[in-house]
Amino acid sequence: MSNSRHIEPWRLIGGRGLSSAEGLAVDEALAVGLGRGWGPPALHLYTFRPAVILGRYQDLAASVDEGGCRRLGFEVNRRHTGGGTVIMGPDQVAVGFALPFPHPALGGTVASAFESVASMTISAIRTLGVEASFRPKNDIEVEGRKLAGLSASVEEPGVFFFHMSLLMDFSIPAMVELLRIYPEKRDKAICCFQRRMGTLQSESGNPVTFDQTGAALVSAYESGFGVELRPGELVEPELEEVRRLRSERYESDRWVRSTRVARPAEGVHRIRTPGGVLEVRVWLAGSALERVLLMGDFFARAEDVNRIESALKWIPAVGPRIRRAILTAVDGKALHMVELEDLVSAVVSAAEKALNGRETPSPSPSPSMEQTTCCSTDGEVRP
Amino acid sequence: MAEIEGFNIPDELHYHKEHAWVKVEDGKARVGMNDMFQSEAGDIVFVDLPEEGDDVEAGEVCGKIQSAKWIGKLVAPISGEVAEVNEEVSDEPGLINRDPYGEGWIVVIEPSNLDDGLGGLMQGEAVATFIKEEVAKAKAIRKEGSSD
Repeated sequence: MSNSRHIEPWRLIGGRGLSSAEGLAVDEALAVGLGRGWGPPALHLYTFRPAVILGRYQDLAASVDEGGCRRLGFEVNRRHTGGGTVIMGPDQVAVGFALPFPHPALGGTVASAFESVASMTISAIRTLGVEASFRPKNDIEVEGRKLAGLSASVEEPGVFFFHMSLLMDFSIPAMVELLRIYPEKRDKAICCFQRRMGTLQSESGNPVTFDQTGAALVSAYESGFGVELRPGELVEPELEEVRRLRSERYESDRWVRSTRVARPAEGVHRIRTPGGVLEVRVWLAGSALERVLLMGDFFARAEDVNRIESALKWIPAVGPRIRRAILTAVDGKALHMVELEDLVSAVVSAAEKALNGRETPSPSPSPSMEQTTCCSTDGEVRP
Repeated sequence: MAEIEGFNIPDELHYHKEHAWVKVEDGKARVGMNDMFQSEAGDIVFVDLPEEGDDVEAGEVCGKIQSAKWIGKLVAPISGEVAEVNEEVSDEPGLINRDPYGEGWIVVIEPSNLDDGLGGLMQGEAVATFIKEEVAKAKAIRKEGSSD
């Protein structure tokens, strides 16, 4: 980086066990503050009190099981950046990074900025002994298992704001109770998500602490941006903004239960293939695919299944885009004895059913679906 | 129709530096986002639009977009009152990507002063120069970043 120039240090703001309102308000205040020149760029590195946090335009009722949240003592809130729901607590590192944009280390476009911060984050994770990589669009993964979710906003002038949740450890059984997810049967859901998610602890085989993870991130960002991250505080106008955001936004039902959301819809389509039953379940946000789950008793590597599911996230739910996403994500042999063109048609049909079901809502699961095994993926492709 | 740095930038429109375009129709301003904006944004999956009757200020944020996982802003190119909102774009935000100057229009604004409003916008050579500069800036930053 440009070490020849003298660069003012950026701030490192720490915190442990923050309420969701406090954590999210500090994040947004740092973005606002940087845009208005109140303070230097800042990395907010912290943990939340147990909380379920929605993406900005997600529908609360469709995503979160509020009864489960109350039972387990989880707060529910909504962040100002995009993406899907995350579950946060003492074992998940929260990162809110207010960065000057454009910046030499970020490149000139939002896409380049995203990938640059992701790549610095990956180098930090590798120092913890986990061979992570970037999975487009916005996840960090290990062999198909999601380790971190990234999101961003570019709303303040001259600011790229980066949000991340990084799993040191994670309870899938708790997730099944907190979110509206499928399969509804607990053991199936647990099995299904165990193959799709990883943690620093499970991937490295060692206990991982917040201090250790934080130090790795700080060092990677310092070298990536060519600056020192020096422990600091919020300045007065930022603190004032935190107070305003807490009361007007993050502690307000109008924000948390916002109705300015992408309309949710769910659809399922099931086909028989020479390789076995394939069940495709899609969740739409407006006219885009928010999430896709491939299940059945066909054989495929978990990594390939996850790669297909990821490639389908956040694209318009139309045939040509679905086809292109699938055919570029994996090669033709990824699913044993299942033609990718059949998979394409099944995803398109599931999306069409979701869109049509929105016009005439009806309970979707059919009794025969009980026969479906959770998720196919036995690690190896059958010879 | 003009192509500048690979982006379609029609000659007859007026442009704001935050990438909105304006087309004058019966004294009103039809507004959308230009081809460079939609291309940089990638797939737009949600739009949060102002409502009819809202006052908007040139250069101020009047809406948001969500593209894949990031949130971006829509900046009003001209001051006035929102007279019409494109409901089709709310239902299908991908229209902004597919047809930024047609079906992907965003709002119609009743300008508080049309002539003043247009005076603050770019047309012709000025917009060509602006787009070229924006592209050059992004390239220069990338180069500086990678050479370090």
